[in-house]
Amino acid sequence: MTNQEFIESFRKYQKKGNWWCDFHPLAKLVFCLSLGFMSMIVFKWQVGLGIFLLASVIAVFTPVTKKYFTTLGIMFLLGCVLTVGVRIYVHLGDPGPVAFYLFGKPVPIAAIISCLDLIFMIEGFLGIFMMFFLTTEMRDLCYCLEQIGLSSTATFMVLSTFACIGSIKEKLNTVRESQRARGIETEGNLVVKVKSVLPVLFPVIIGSMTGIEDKTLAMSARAFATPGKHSALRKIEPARPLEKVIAGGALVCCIAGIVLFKMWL
Amino acid sequence: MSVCIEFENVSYAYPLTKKAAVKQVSFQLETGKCYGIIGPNASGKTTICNLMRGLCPNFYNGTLKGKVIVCGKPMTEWDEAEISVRIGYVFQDPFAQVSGIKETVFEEIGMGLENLGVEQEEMMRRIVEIAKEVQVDHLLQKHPLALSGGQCQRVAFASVLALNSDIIVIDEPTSQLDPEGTEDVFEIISRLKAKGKTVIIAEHKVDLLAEYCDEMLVMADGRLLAKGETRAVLADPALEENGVQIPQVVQLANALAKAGKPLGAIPVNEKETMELLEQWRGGRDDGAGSK
Repeated sequence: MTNQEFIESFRKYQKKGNWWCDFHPLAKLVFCLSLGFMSMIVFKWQVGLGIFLLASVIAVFTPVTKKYFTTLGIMFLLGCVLTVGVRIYVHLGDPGPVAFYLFGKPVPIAAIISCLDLIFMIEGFLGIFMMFFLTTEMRDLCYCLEQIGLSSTATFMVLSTFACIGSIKEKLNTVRESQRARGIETEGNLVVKVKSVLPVLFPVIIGSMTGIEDKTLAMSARAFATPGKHSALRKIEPARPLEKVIAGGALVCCIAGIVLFKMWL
Repeated sequence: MSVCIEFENVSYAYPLTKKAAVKQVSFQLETGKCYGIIGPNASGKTTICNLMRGLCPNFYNGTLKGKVIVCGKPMTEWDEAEISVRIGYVFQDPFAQVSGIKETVFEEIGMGLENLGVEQEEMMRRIVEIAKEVQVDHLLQKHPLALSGGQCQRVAFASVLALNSDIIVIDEPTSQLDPEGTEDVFEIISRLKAKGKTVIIAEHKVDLLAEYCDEMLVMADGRLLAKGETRAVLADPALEENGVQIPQVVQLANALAKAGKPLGAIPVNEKETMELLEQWRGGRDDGAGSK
């Protein structure tokens, strides 16, 4: 892209060319929050599975498909399998209809359903939120939040926190590379990687905190304290009616789902 | 010329220290001039810059005695937002000045303007103009954290200049830069000077300061040792006595004067030195010829 084309691009609404990635950030947030909390509050495997499938279908039509399923798979293995193991162990030998026997003790059907509820609650919640974070730029979300009245200080805090995570990751990589240059093992399985990172994690985090003073001064030099509404270089298209309907629909579904499952079912 | 910054018997101590970083300093800075602040390490150069910008004591706390007056108004009466536009401040560490939340140099330069609520079209016009001026136009699409130290410092200059401040305070802008980056920074400073901005630079590279600054302020142990026209200040023997580094060309002139062979004037750059040396050699040749 030439400089002129790049500068011109700021005159238009920022687009990525994918329907879900270009979904209005606030509408998307409302949609994902509604479904995520519905999965958590209703706590039924049918609801969780539905939300997880919906998030997965959306993921298939976005450029983050591979990343989404890889991350979700890791989380599934780490979180859910462990939780299921604990749940089955806790309910092992409980009275009620038996699903199967484990170590000679009955595992009740209720325990299996309880496991499924937990697994799909987590998968539904994580799936929809991961879908949101993988396809939404925080600066766009913050811009939209500023437009509806959130203070620029709050949005800066959100953005710099996310930026800080990236910078800590970068610093950790630098430290790991310098450790490798000194002959310390840093590559290999997860345990080796964790062992190489743990001793430097705390100093790196503290080191990042010491940069806060510099950052504050730099912001002060950029007239950050100026009262009144800040303007923006990037333009985000206002939410289209269909996006509003989808977000509103998700909110209504969430409320209805909670009422239905918690009060009547 | 009108006075833009005035220090009236200013003393300042950082919190948790008893020793003042700046002691009874008084001076006036005139609008449109370029001032250099020199002195050994821990002589109070950065503190003077921080006092001018109101960071001491507003940000760092500490104890301030005396008065700092900016454009006729005491610093205590200035609003933080107002002063940040009136006085642009470029810091030592180029990377610490990057906001960290913008993904291109173009947006990074525009951040100050966004904070001021400038309209998008005007913002874009000013960013392009400033980027050309400080020669970062070829970097506009790059990530600010992917730049070299020199490039990053130029972007920091651009971000501050975009605010169109009348006074620019620059604290050791080249301390982390290579010679090429240093040249770039001083080129920007000469452009600012040409635009009639008041520029105040605290710097160790006295050779370059002597070339660019109209006046010098010399700090030693928190006190103002000397202030005045660059040539006159650098000729002061008290500077070397107090451990203040002076330009090599001035050292040469002083050495020749001590040896009873004065150059006739104190040079502040290589070109002047060469001219003076030519004249000096011509004079000696003439003298020898007449004998």
